[in-house]
Amino acid sequence: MKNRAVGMIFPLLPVLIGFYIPIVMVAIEDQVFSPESETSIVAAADLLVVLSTIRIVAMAALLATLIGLVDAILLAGTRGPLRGFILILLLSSFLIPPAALASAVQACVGASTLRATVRDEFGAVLMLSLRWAPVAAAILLAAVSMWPRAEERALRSLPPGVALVARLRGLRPAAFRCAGLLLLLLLPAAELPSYAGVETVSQRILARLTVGDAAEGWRLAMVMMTLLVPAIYFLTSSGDEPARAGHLNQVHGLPRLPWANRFLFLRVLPAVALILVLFYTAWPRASEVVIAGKELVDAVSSIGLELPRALLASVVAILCGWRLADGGHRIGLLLLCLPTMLPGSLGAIAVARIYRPFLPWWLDDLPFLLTLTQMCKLGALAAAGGFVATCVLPASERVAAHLLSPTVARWRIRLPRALPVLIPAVGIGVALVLGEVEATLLLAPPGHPSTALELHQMMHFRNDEQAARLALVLAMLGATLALMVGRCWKRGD
Amino acid sequence: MVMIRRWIWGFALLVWLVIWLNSHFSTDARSVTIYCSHDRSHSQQILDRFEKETGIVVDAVFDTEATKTVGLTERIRSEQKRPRCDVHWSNEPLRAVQLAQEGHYDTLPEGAGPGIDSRWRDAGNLWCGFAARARVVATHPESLASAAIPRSVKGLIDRSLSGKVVMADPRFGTTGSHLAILRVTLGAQRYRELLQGWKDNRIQIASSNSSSRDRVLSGEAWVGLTDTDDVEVVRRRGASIGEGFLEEDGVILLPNVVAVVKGCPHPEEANELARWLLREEVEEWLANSPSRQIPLRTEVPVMASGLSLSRFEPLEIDWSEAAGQLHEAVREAERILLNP
Repeated sequence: MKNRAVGMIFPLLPVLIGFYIPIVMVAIEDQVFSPESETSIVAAADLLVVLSTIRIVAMAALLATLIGLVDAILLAGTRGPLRGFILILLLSSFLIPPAALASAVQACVGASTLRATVRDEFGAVLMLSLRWAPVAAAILLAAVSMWPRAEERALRSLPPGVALVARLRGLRPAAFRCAGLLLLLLLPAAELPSYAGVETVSQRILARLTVGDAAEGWRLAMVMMTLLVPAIYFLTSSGDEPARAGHLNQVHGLPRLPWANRFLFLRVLPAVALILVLFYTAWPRASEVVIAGKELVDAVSSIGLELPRALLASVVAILCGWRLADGGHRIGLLLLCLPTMLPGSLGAIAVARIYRPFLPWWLDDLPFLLTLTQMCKLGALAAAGGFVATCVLPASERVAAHLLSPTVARWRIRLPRALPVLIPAVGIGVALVLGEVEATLLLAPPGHPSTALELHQMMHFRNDEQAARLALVLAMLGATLALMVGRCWKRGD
Repeated sequence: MVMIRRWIWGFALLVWLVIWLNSHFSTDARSVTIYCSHDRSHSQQILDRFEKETGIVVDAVFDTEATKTVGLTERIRSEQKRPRCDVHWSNEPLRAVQLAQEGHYDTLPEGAGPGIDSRWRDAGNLWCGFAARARVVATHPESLASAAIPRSVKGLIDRSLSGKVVMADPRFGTTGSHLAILRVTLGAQRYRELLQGWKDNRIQIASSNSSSRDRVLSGEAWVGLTDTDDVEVVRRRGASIGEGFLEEDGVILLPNVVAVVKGCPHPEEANELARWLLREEVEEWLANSPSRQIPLRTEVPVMASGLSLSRFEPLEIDWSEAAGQLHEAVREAERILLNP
């Protein structure tokens, strides 16, 4: 029992230090829940915003998963040209902030010719879904890569239509979990819904912060967390899907379906169009070639400097999630997930207020607190990655591993078997860390390179061409990550 | 082979670590940190000039609209016990005034900002304004509004403009400041009536001032409340868009603000930078930049297409009062304009 508690505490240390301890201290300092507080009860209008946020995000998560499911089934279950390239193209656009795409399109065709996109909740759901569908496809393809060898062979002997339906059924449990993960990752979304004229809780919390009313921002955040705790607890329950292992990488036996090729071609067309628009906008005039070249080199070097830090943050977070899932700590997984739901600003402000005054100068000059906060933001991804990785381990192997010492069984047997799921999760984590803006703005030491932040600053003042160049660099990085993840699946375990 | 690969990876990691640490630990003897929410492309040039003239290295942290002005203001608040920032250059005055009221600023050096009128600076010399933006209405050139541009915010409740007026989210940035100033000048009751009038006239709410301007450009809205720099930036790209000043209300000028942070790590350099930023030349550069700022000294030369202070009758603003009402103004706007 004692060992089990210790096993839960260690992986939770980053999130305890980087989130729970500072927010509790800030809540006490600011007397967030003091009975004297005039506004200790969240207004009905705020509650409506919380509920509408959950509604929008839930619909977007479901729609994104549905699109991702179709993509994943067609990419994994049929053969045709450029399958790997299609996924890379879809994923490469994920790292580009939507505002950069919008500004590039405006610069390209002129703002006066552009009408606004669909508005209200439908518009917000559509934009969020289209942006996150490639991530859903990647998660589900990870699940497909762990398909049992015998089942995969049997599927390839079936008629194409029947096989696709069977794949759909087989992926259903993973799809539900994927939707749950997307729900948590989308909850702090503020930027995209604001383009559709829809207010989310994150935006309302930011509005409180901007007039110095942090306490009420915290109360709103607590309401949302309280509403979602049961849902997350349900998501971390053990599923009834059979344990899986192995892969079958070859395309031999997969059907060639012309309609699937046409569908995937249409699916990838917007991504190609947007990347072409970015190229067109980014292309420098003759007088700007030298400056543009320098900007490109600067962007690549700043990403190069940031990449190992992002990798470290992502690896630690994912390992913590896997360790908790592997030990069956549902409460631990729940605690790991919660920080993901809040806007990054809240956690970052708490960390800065509580820890910075006591940090030694050399640690203060390094992005230590930033890394800690970003690790906490990856909690839901880490929990989901760890959970899926544990589920796919065959029961026989799990039992066999019990014959060894716990440490050897965990790190030498179970962890390597979980890598095909954990490595893509690390890749997505790196992308999320590199694209993170809120905590970076509040915690990064002066002079710390951040391409995503720089990109947002350029868009703020309509430096469209420069922004497009940076966005292209981020797209290249996204493509590289997708390539690495693809290679990992191909290699299998 | 495996060993060689491990050595290569280890060496690459070591090289990265050395470069990374070098990028974070500065060895410069004299440096100053500035938190700046003004346009990076223009302010960076100005800070580069300061570096060149004085030899003091400037570490600048710039703001972004992605966090809706929460960024640098909140960062200064959260760093109160151990400030990292030396100089705060805010492009929006009310939140800077709030920071001054909360005790985050130290007094500016004696003689900083010569020639800038007392109405643009704090009575206790905690902050000083320079180079302002004006709140304006942008109009679609082919709309009815371009023929009769509203000269007052009350004109935006005209029935002929129903559903054709746009403003940015009233809780953020200069729009929030504009509303707080309106609440001070109109009084709470008339302010709420104005908001209700806008709501009844089906005012559109965009995510930012630039989005408001873009809706006017596309013709979705005929009139948009925005800032002069947002209009200028698209005009310089060849877009056709009208601009009108709210002269009946009194033109609202929102200056940039410079302040020295209390307990900052480099007070001497901070004072030097603050004094340097408040020079006439800086206002002139900003006036002639694409952000088309309005110098607060009438003697500063402005190019023909620029804006000078003598052109308007600016509204007299009690900055402390407006900053004090910001919270209420924003909450009421949220309740009336945004709540479902």
